[in-house]
Amino acid sequence: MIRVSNVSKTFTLSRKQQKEMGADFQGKTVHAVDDISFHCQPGRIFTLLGPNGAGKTTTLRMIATILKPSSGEILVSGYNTVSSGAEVRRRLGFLTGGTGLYDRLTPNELIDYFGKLNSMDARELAKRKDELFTLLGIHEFANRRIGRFSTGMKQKVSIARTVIHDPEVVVFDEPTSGLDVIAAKSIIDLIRNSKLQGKTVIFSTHIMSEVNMLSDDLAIIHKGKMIYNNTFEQFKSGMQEATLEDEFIRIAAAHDTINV
Amino acid sequence: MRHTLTIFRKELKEILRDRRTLTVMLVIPLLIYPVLFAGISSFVQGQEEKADKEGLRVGLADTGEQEGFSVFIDGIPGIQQTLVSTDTAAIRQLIQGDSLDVVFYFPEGYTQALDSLQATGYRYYFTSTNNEFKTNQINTLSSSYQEHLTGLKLSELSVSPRILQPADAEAINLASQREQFGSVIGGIIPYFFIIFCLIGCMYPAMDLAAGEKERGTLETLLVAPATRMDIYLGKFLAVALSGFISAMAAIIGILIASRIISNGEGDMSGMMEMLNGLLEPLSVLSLLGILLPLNAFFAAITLMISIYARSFKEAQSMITPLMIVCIFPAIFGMLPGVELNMTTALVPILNVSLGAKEIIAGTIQPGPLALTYISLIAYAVVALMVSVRFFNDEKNIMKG
Repeated sequence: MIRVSNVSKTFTLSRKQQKEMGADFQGKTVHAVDDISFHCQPGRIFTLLGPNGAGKTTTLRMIATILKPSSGEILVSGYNTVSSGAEVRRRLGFLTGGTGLYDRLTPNELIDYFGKLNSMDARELAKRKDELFTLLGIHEFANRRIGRFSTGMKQKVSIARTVIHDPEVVVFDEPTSGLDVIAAKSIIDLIRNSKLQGKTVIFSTHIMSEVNMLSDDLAIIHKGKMIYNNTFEQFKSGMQEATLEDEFIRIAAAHDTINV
Repeated sequence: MRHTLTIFRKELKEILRDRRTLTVMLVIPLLIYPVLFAGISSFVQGQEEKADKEGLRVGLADTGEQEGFSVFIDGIPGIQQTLVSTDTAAIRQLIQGDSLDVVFYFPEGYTQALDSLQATGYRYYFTSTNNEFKTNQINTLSSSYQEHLTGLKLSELSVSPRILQPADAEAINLASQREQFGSVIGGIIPYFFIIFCLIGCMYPAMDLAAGEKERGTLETLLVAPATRMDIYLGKFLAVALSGFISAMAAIIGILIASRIISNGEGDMSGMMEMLNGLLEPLSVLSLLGILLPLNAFFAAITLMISIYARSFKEAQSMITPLMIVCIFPAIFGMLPGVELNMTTALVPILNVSLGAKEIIAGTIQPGPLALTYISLIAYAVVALMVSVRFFNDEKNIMKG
């Protein structure tokens, strides 16, 4: 379970960054995330939809304890991300589009490394690793260095790393970006399986077909603000446009008009 | 703490698998000096052997005045003499064509002038660029001929040669062999420790922070249950150890090189005495006491820069100037007359350079040594604290 309550995140900009923001920009801070609240439940997939720069990654990084909220509070499985970061991380898996693997290690070593960091005991780790390697077809290259792997192979190892400690909550930050259809399919399967196993799943995307395929709950985030948050069923039944894309653009435009 | 160890082990494994880092960290410091010195020493030895084998080929210009010199060198082994033409151009050709090593030219009237004590002289033609050993032999030959003449003149006058040197002087150096050796090589060892410790820290530090950021692996580590302190310490220890190994490799390299230079012969007792002195537990502890905080200082600083940098490349361009900044005090410590006192003990790196030199030579004073320890530990702790703060700063972690 994830509960995000009135969370904001402001970044202080360096002078150089202020210049890069253009002549219209005033002040020294940007609100990457502005007072958002939502709630993700076990056994459901929560989709965070928004264009690039909307604040999706910042939000997910705050849930994963990499960043601290400037205000508000996030609870993951009942633990506060700021005061009980290690407890949160113990229960959380985090996967991004970039695989982020150590090239000079083998899948075996890499998974052992993350298993140990998750304080798994040796027998439990070996068993879980064997299961995952079988499921993902990693065994045949388990003892070769990751550096020479194809993106698809890396993606499999990356998935194994994310779920080796059987996390209750899985966070996917644009997990299919940069992947081909086959590699993307394995991610989609992982998300679905996580849901079937009763895990809490949150994933961010800007790809409408994925939204359609996976969402149980949907939140739309735009310029740091949450402009829609309901079940996907509700969203579909309330659509005023023919396609998801058009509906998304309509909602975003409506929000811009209100704010101008 | 367990996580720190897990991270430390994994970082070490990665360092050992990186050929580039391994080369810079271990292979170069270990081999550069032995190879360099072996090269120089075999070249010098070759020159010496050539000089010995050929002997000295002496030409005597046929002026009719060469008789006395000819008789003088006749008794010296390893000298072959030939009569040559008096033409300067021909002489030049003989020397430059390497047919002869030296040609002595005694002008007309030389013998008579010598007998009547009138001003006279002789010339000898040689080339200094040929072989240094031969040049020395030639100069020695000429001066021993001069001494020979002086001796002859004095005995003609029935004067004792003691008139020229009434008293002999005997210089007795009270510095122990260890002190003498220590003041020479003792300045070099800490210098190499400083340089290679820094180099050994540099590459892993760049790889373990900026490199991880660039490759996107740092994020995966940050969402593991290890605390940031665990992660930082694991990396810090790996960087520090690699700096230490690199520095030790350089020192072992230098010791091997100095063996090569002395080539088994010559007086090794000073070196052995110094080494034995160094292997006393107290000396080892005193040296480690100043080298380890420096090691920690370097690891913290390089890691701090690397955490701050956006990419491996940026880290590289920021760490290179650090190298130059660190070399200066290290070299300054090798200069004669600069000593460890209550002021220099406060200057980082310089105090290591000076302190280590005096520990090796066995001349260290307790006051400045204690101050060196304290200041080095203080610098290391401050660098470590700032470095940890950098690592805890979201801005640095999310860069790139």
